[in-house]
Amino acid sequence: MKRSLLLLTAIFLSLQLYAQQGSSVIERFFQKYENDRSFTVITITPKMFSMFGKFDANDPDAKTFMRVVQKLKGLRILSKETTKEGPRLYHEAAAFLGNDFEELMTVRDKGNDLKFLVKENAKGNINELVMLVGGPTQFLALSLVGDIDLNEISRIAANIDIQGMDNLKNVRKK
Amino acid sequence: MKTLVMSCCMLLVCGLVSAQDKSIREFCNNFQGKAEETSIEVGSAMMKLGGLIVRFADKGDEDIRMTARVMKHVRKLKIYHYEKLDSIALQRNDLSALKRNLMDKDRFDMLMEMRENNNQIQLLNRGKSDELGDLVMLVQGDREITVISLHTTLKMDDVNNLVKQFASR
Repeated sequence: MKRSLLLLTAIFLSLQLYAQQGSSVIERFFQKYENDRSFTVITITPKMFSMFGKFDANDPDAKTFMRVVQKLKGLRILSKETTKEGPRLYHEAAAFLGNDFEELMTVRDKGNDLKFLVKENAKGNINELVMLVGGPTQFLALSLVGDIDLNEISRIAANIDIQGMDNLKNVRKK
Repeated sequence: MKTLVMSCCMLLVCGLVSAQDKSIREFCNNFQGKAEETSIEVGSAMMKLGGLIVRFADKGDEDIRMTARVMKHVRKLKIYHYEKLDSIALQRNDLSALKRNLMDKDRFDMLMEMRENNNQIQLLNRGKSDELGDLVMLVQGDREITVISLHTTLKMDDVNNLVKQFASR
């Protein structure tokens, strides 16, 4: 009985540890730099998204936007402008993400690198989208958490004034 | 019995409101004499009066009617603004301490945070999921700090109607 109890506790603890590791990969990268004043940081919490979800709009574009936003749970952006560290930060962030994320698209244009990565949940739905932008003078990391439909996100991406997001329209639709 | 329960509820609400005020007051006290201070406080009676004046201004205008309806649900508005802050006072009392107090002691939830160089904006609220409830906005600039505290009984539907009203124009 004692042994089974110990075994159960060990399984429970390892599952907890696994869950924590899984959700904190990009979080660790954000935490490393969020107190550095040379970075711009934007965080929108799940509560804010749930409040957005209560709004209903008359305009069709706004309706689409609200439908997408209702399924989101969090947004974090970490960026640095006028920096020479763009490529270094880009590679560091990409290394942080490792095997947990599946690469969706990579673009290299005149020394600017852009990468979209996704993480799927057990049901095979996308529950995190990460965008990394690294250039000779800039860096940006974006993490979007929630029930993500790439078709819907790419539809509203053009209206979101975040550098690189417009490239989502080029991602192959599932 | 009913009166007793009602009184307890009222005391609890008042306690929460004064706790929020206390955290902000304690934070603001740190800057007395160390900055140029501007503070504005508007109570519920003033808000109701404002709502009445606004309603009398133009009875047919839906914008005015909506504004008056919203004002009726605002119980208190406080704005504290400090500029030309003593850099040492600012270093020792940045907004993160107030944010921690509001979240840990006064049960506020963070809604949104933005920081660029030395400028930061934080928006917190306390209320059920369908309420705007109490709202605190913290704004920090290079040598200035603004704290906006709003006690409301506004539901998200009220905010939604307000947004729709002004978006339709």
